[in-house]
Amino acid sequence: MRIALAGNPNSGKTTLFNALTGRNEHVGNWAGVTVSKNVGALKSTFSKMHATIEIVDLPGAYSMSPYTSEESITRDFVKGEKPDVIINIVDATNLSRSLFFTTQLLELEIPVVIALNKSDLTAKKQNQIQVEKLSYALGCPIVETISTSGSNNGLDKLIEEAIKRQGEAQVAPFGAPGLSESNEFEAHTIDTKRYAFVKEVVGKFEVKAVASSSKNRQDAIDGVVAHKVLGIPIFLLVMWAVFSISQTYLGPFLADLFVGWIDQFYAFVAALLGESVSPVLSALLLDGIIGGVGLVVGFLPLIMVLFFLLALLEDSGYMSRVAVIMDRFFKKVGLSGKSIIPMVIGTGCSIPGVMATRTIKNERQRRTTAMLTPFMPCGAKLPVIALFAGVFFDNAGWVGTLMYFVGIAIIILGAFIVQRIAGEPSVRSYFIMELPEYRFPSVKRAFMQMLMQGKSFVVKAGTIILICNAAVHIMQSFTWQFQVVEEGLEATSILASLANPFAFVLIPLGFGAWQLAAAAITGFIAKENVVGTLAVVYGITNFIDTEALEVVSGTDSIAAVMGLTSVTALSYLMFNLFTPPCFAAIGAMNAEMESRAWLWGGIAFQFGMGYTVSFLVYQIGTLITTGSVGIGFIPGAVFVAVLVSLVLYMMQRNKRSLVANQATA
Amino acid sequence: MADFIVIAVIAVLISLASYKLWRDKQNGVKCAGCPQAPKSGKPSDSCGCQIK
Repeated sequence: MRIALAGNPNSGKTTLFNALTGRNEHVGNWAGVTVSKNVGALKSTFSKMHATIEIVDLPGAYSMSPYTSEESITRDFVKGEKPDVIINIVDATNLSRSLFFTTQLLELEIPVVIALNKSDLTAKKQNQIQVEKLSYALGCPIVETISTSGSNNGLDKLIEEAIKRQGEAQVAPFGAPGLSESNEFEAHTIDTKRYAFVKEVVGKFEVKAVASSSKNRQDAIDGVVAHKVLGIPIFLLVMWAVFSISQTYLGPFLADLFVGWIDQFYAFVAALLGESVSPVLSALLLDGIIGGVGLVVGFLPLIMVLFFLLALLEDSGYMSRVAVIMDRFFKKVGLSGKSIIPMVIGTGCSIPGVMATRTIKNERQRRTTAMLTPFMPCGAKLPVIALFAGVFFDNAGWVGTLMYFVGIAIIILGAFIVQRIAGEPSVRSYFIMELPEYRFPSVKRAFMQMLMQGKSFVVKAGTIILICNAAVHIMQSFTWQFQVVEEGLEATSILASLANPFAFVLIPLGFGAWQLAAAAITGFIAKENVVGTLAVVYGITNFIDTEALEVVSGTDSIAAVMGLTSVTALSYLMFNLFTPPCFAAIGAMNAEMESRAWLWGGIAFQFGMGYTVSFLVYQIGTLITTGSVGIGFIPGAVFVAVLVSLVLYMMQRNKRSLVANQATA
Repeated sequence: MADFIVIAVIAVLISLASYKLWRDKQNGVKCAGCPQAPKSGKPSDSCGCQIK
């Protein structure tokens, strides 16, 4: 038996899905979190049937109109795969909006059961819904549910009703005889009549205790948080607080303890190996694998604290307000208001962020968003940020915050450029998004999210990072003739010879060392590799506690070992953050853009932007701190000037083309 | 003898990592450790990270 969960965005479908199946799909307190369907088996505690009952969680939809293609996954599934029963999750706090979609579901001739969700919130507001009368009017059973509650949540009764309904007929309460949805004008007429029907039903069976026109506490908070002037500084403050707690205070405190255990394990294995093992093999296992992976994993506490705080923010409903704040800027540069959603998702991982662009109807806006989403620092970039913030800026919280804001600035600039190159500046899009109510964030949900991200981080460290570190160490230890590299002659290694051509290109950015180039290159496999590779090439096993470093390198300063100043460190950080993230993200861009020209253009744009930002930071920073420009200023400036000229030429060419089209029209 | 043991340990670690990456790829997951990766061995289109 197959049961589909359908309903408006943010009605509680995924929370209900997790409760019914025992899965832990990501739940965000804003619309657009689920972009593909999730499938799971109903927990046996809910069903005494022997056959497996499959639950399908569909992305939220406000309508199944054929003229809203972004909701096609839900429409195609329900119409094409014909589930046995549909559970329509209706938000009890927003009945009139929810029932529009309900009336469409009831016309599909598939039995429907309504889960009247968030019943607790309705009760708190002292609103009353005459459930039995509403059920009779709609022609389907209604079960009151609270999907966030562990007990007494109505889910048992909901499943019981769904199983009873299997095979039953479903009569639609609303009809528009003589009109057809295949005609756009008639479809609009049908929608108008449908709204009128829903309004009549809600008017009869819902009694609200508070007039919706009166301003409540939620509106008062939004008046400040989503204010067109105050919104940005408040967002800045919130992100600074998040990064300060995770990178400056709590995070490093926990990381110190954790790294201590890793160091003990390292010492244990080193003692076990002793003098009886070949130095090359010993170094590969200790420095390459344990040291490299251990160093990346050492940032785990910082990452987990950060994800915990971000999950709390998301669950509170604040992230939707961020979408509203950013929307004002995005619309002015030709982006869809929906573009903010993939970018917010992209702060976790660029790949689902890029894939979330499929909900954007306009092709140019979708491709632009897919190209720009990777500029948001993702979870994989956090160890890189944490490393540089810790080593060069005394764990300052402003480093991480700055990276996010630079990312947003680059996105806005990038969107402006793309609009001038490939679009029509006069065309604007409009975006309507439902703002969920503020709520006290669930510590349990944030904790689960933190554990999930932490597990993902550890698995990634134990797989791709382990393999990369081992490969880097081997390439660093041997020459092309497979001779062991002698001490002091690391530049003769395989790794150095591969990285040197790239290092030459990076001289104008302030970090022309082959070690840094090698780390940046391995970062395209997985961004965390930057940290792991730096550890291997510099022989650093601990970026957090540097007391042991002096024994190996003669200095307790990692900056001195790496040969970087604060300015060049910031430049290197920006290069790694704002060039293409990883090959998997490029693959996601390829899948969503469906155009070679856009894909290669996007990659070139990302490289160009990362190089330019890094160049400007290094050269201007060096000018300010030393009074003169840095090494490689002239060739770097020439290269950047060529890039800028090319962009300006393409913008001008598009402008001439638009003018010519208007003249002939 | 000690050298062979260390080589074996390194080979096992790399093999396990490679196997995990291969199994994820078979399940259609492109990123090792993706929190949305399907738990079972069956391919699933429920993973938001899958690239088709």
